[in-house]
Amino acid sequence: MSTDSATSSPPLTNKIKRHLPGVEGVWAFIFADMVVFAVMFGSFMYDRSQNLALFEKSRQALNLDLGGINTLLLLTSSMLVVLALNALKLAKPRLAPIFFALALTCGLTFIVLKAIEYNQKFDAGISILSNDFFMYYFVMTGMHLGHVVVGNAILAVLLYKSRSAKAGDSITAYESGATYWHMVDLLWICLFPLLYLVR
Amino acid sequence: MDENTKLMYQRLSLYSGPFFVITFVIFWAWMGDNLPPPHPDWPAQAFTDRYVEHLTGIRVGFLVALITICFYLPWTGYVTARMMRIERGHYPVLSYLQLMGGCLTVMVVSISMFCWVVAAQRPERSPELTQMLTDAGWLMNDTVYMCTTLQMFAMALCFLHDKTSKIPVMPNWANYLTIFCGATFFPASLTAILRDGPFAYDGLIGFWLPYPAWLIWLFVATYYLIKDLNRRVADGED
Repeated sequence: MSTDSATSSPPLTNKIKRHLPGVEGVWAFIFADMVVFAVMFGSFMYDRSQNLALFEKSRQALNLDLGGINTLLLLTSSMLVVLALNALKLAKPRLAPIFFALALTCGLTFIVLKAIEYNQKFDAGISILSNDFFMYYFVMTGMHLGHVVVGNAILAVLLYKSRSAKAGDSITAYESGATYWHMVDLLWICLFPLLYLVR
Repeated sequence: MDENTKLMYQRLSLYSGPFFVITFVIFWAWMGDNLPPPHPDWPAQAFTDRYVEHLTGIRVGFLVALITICFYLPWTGYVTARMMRIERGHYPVLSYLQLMGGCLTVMVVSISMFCWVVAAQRPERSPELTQMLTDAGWLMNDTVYMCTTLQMFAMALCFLHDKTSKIPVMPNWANYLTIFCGATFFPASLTAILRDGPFAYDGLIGFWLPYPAWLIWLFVATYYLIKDLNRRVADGED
């Protein structure tokens, strides 16, 4: 598939050589960060296996609609970031700020929906101390939310930076930020089924 | 002061970093009976028993570690001076932030150990008091970490923006590792709320992640700082 698209647009083949997007450090950071989340996922699955009934009963109290909408929001914003980077690569830098702004809107909406979701839990008398399931639910989604907040700040910086972008500028900084944002997306794609869907 | 003497003190300052880490592992972790840490959900009497059973180790361990923690200061001093060479001019704010963060780190970790030294001074105290002093010591480390986090962020950002050094002080990945290790402290705030599981002060995310991350980072940073110092000397750089 990739060879097809490469042959169908010959001017790009020279430009887009295989390279590590962004700076190497971002990948080191992402690797370490994902190891921490993997440890938490493992810990969650272990504790879950020790108390299946409680975890299943608690899971049913989660709001699948809000979780699902948030999944779509993050997937959409990841796609928008890809479009923004493509605009920069294809020398259409004026489109990039629009895509970054839309991606940021998705990210900010995610935060609002998460706040509503937390509030629903608090109103129902559910907190981080209710049981082990909700401990994991609040801590893991909370830590992910922290990543979303940082990601939104990065998107805002990229939005600002891309407004003065010219064709031919280096896109390393954009790639680094986009890579981080894709990780935030990927973590949620693991978290959502783990907490909301696994029966 | 002649150049060789200055260099000697620079080297000593750098080596005091790993010296602190090694003594910290021996006296704080091993002798102080912090490997593994006490379990926050124990009944109060278990805390007293822990002090009584390991009294000499805990006393000697923390009293020595309280002295050797201060070897974090000369290391911080060297890093500050190195950062100021990059952040030239009258407003080296990142260097100052790193300096303040390093100094306060020593105070935070010291106050934490001080609580345990007080607990070990009279192990015959009411167990609830011993439990409270132990908790207070852990929560000092686990909730008052932001000074250290900012120290690490300031250092990484300064080295990342470095346009003056021919060879970067630390490679790109090591700077991002610094940011990551600084950020591993954030989930430790949960130790104030959760007393059992991975986020408690003896848990995977509450203890086994941030403490090793901090110590490993210091080794990695020192390795590259020594390399950088040797390069400076070889190139005759001021």
